[in-house]
Formats: sequence, C-alpha cells, structure tokens
Amino acid sequence: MTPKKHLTELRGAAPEKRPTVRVLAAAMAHNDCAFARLALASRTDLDKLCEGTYFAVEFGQDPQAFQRGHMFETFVKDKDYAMLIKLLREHAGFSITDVRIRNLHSGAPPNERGLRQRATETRQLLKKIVMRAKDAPNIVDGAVLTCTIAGQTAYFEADGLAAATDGRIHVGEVKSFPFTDGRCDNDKLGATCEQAAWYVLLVRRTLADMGLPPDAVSDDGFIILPMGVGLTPTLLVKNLASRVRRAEELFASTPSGAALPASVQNLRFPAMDADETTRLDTLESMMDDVGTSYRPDCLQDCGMSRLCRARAQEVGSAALCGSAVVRWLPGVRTLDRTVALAAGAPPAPSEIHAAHALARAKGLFDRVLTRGQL
Amino acid sequence: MTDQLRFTLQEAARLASETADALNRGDMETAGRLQQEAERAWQRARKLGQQHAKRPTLSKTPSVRERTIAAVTELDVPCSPKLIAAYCVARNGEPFDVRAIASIRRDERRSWNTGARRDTYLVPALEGPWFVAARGRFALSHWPLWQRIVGPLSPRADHLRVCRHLVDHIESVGQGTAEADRLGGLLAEYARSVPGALESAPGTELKLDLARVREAVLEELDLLEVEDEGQRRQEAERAQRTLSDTDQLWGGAVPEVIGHSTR
Repeated sequence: MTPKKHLTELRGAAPEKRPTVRVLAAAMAHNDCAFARLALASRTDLDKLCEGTYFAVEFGQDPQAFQRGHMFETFVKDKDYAMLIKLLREHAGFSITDVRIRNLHSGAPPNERGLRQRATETRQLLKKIVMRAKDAPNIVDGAVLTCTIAGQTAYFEADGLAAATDGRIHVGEVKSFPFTDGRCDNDKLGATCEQAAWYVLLVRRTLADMGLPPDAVSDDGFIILPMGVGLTPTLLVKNLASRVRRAEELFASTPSGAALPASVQNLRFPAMDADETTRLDTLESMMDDVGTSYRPDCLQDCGMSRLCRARAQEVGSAALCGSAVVRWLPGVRTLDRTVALAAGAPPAPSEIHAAHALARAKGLFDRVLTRGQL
Repeated sequence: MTDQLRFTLQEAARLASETADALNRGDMETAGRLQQEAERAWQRARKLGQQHAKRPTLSKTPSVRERTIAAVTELDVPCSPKLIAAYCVARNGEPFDVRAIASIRRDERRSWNTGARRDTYLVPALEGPWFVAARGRFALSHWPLWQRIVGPLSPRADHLRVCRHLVDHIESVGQGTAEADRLGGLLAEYARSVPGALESAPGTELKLDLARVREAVLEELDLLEVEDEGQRRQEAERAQRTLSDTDQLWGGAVPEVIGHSTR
C-alpha cells in the first residue's frame, strides 16, 4: 500500500479536516505531539471525536462569531474586492492601477481535484508576479500551497489573499475581531500573525521549489480588521520576520519520515457512529501506541485535550502544570516524584538539578508556613 | 362574460330562495322542481366561473429570464447575480429573487443541448488559463468572445463601467424620480471605492454629485480600459485557437492535475 493509501486507511471513517494554513499553523504549534502529527498527516478532524463522551470538548467557533466573520469577509471582498482595493491603496501604498485580480475559488470544484487545480494555477501566478509579467495579478484569492508532510505532498488552502506590487508578495488575512482606537485583542492578533507567518513560509518554499527567489515574499503581512462594532475595515501592516523564523525552525524539527512507522500501519481512527466506549478505547490505545504530549494550551487547540489531560492526571504528569514548570524540572516526569524529591529522596542522575531546586523550595516553604519565619 | 356570470349566480340564488318558500308552504312538488332548476343554474355558474379564471391576463409581466437578459444587456459587462438582482430592483422597483438566476443557468444549458436556438442565451463568463466557466459571472451568448472573457483587470474595469452606465441612466430618467433615487443608492454603493467620487463634509449627509462621480469614474477607467480590452482580445484569440465552438460558449475543461513535487 502506498503511504497515501495508508494515511487514508488510518483516517478510516473518522471525519476529515479541510487542510488550510490555519490548520497547519495549529498543528505545527503542537508538532512535539506524535498523535497530533498523525492527525495532520491523515487529515483527520479530532475536534468532535470525543463528542458524547465525558471528555467532549466544547469546540469550534461560536456560531455568531463565525457568522460575523463570514459577513465581514464577504463585505471586504464584495463588488470585486472594492473595499480591499481601497485599503491597499490607502494603507499599503498600492498604486491606482494595481488592481489585477484573480479569484481561484471561481471555476474550481470544491474538492481534492479543485485543490490540485488551484495549486497549479497558484504556481503559475506566483511565477508571473515574480517575473513582473504584464498580466500578473495584484490580488490572488483562494491560493493553494503545497508542502511535504509525512513524505506526502499536502495541499493547504490559504485563507488569506496574496497581494503584490512591483513583484513583492505580501500575505494577507481577513479577521473579524475589532480594532478600536488603535488597539485590539492581542492574543487573537498573535494567532493571526502566526497563521500569516506559516503562509509566508509556504509561499517561500513554493518559490524555492520553482527556482525563484524566496525573498520575493515580504516579511510584512497585511491584517484586515473591522474598526469598532461596524463593518468599516482597516488594514494593519505587521512584520512577521521573527514568527517566520520560528515557523521555519518548527517545520525543520518536525519528524517527517518517508515511511510511516510499522506500529501505525494497523491503526484506524474511530468513526463518529461508533458508540462512546468503543471510540474512547480505540483512541486511548492509539495514544498508547503513538504517544502524546499534553500541555495546558492543548485545551484551546485540540478536541482530544480533555482526554489527554485525564490521562496526564492519572499518571500525575508534570506537564499538567504547564511547559514552564516542565522546563524548571528537567528529568522529573511526575508530580509524585516531585514531592518525593523535595522530601529528600535520592535523585537519579538526570534529576539532580531539579532535586536541588526542589529541596531548597521545600526548605523555604517549611520555614515560612510551618515555623512562621520569613 | 362577467355579466353573464353575475346573472347566472343571481338566478341560482333566486331559485334557491323560491325553493325554500315552497318548502315552507308544504308544497313538496314545486320545491323539488325548483331545487333541480337551482342546481342546474348553479352548475352553469360554476362552469362560467372556471372559464373566467382561465382567461389570460391582458398585461404581460416579463419573466425572470427576460428581466435578467435585459439587465445584462443594459449593463453590457459580465455581471454577478447580485448585481443583476440589484439592478432589476432599482430599475422598476419590482422584487427580484436572486436565487432564480441559478435555475436559469441550469435551464439555459439544457435548452442549448436540445438544439433549439434562441436569440441569446445567458452564458458564464470565461476566465483563467483554461477558460473555465467563471462562477457567479454571466454574459450573453451573442456577445463577441472577447467581451465574455474576464481578464485580470476586467473585474475592476467592468465595475467602473457599471458606475458609468448608472450615471448615464440616472441622467436619462431624470433625477428626482423614484427610479433615479433607487439607482442612485446602487451607484453610491458602487462608487464608494472610486477615489474622489463621493465626498461629504463630516457630519453632513452624503449627496450624490453625478458630474463628480462621472469624472472620478472616467479618470480611473481611463487608466485601465485600453489594457483590459487588449488583454481580453488577446485571450479571445487564444481561446478561438484552442477551444471548440461549444466550449467557447460554455467554458473549457480543466486538465486533470496528477500531482506536484515538492521539497
């Protein structure tokens, strides 16, 4: 069986996740988790797999927020991108004639075939832009980028738009959280910049594949947000250089491997119509086989997180306290062990550093709380 | 016809009340006879009523298809369903269900396939390297190929052409009419992104200055028009070389992409 078939088999009847750059960015943030990598490679949607069980995660976007987002994006793109053109002219220095548009959504079927078609045309358009062809577009909507995951070519839809002037490509994202009086939700802005950085990385890799200069893609991305509670849009120019560097490192550190490990070849994600107990059993045995890497911020990103947390709690994993604590206590895996070391248990060679810190901390703790000294 | 119907109904009613009187008197024979006459009159009335209802209306309202084709003809550029609907409503105030355009699209192709040949068909605009049918953009089959092709500058250039047409049309129907007001609303939406077209002092209401709108629209269109038409004609030549006659109307097929190699 080809690796591609393996991955489809692996997904089985479980729900499929549409591969977008947003999905890639989220998965890469957890690329230390083998289970997450497997889900990404097989395009399995983990969001709802625990539905109906004790570990169900209230996931996905609030439908009202989703609707507002859709409305805003429609407004920005309405009437042949009239608002976007205005924003690019007013905030990004686009000249009045930089209005060549190509909407790759139009004319491509919404399926795998359409993805490949859009990926082909995306490459043609990128080449035209870099070579400063006369008919090169200034706005590309619905670009599809490729990258290699688990030895396979994977296709990722860009949510955003790539705009170009003078051969420089800027990635763009349209989001609907508000920008008021020069301020907005920084966490959301950060997440948007992460996505945009991955977009930059993918476009640069695509250019490099074609023998074109990757630095044709600018470090500056365009983030389009509504001002206040209305729909009037504004455009922020954000430098993404450091995020792109981090993304590059993450990507390089992702175990790829042309062949899937043998242990994976008999696994299959459970179907949604399986009963809850069977689903959980299957998921847990897969987690045992493949390995997971729980941290508290998984709760925001992954539909498996409550199940993973429960498993971490069962063994008292130090990861429950967050990555910072894990870093301070290298080599100490469980919280029980932490208590033991603090009480003076002889440390293993890998635990020595942590054991000293824990013993000092316990000493301080006892002095203040037990003996009342400061 | 209406008189006859009215007379017959009155007849039936009179006979029915006479039947009731006869019953009151105890005159069963007369009552029976009168009732049968009343029944016959009533049946005659019903038949007349059915014929009356089937009569065709004297005023002919245009069909959705006719309105769509008229709109695209007047706008003279490839149009989105939203634009067609908004323009139709603005022109005569009659509601227009934008979803009807999707079924027109399907019916047009079917009609073409049967071999019958109408004056013109609503066809998709063509775009991209393979001249596929663009989604949500319609042209007319009798237009020259270059006008049905969408080039990179076409969305913006056509947008400006729509603005120009709206200005011209508002002037021809005369400002202050209901139609002009509706079209003015549509124009204000469309001209919003044209630099210099709409301006109002902050806090004052936006007033549409047709001369200013026209000037701003033509200024921008001037920069794009020649290149847009040139690109479309060039692509039309390529399409004529590579596409069959049918595909030149309904769109080409996309070559199946097998895969991409990446790092």
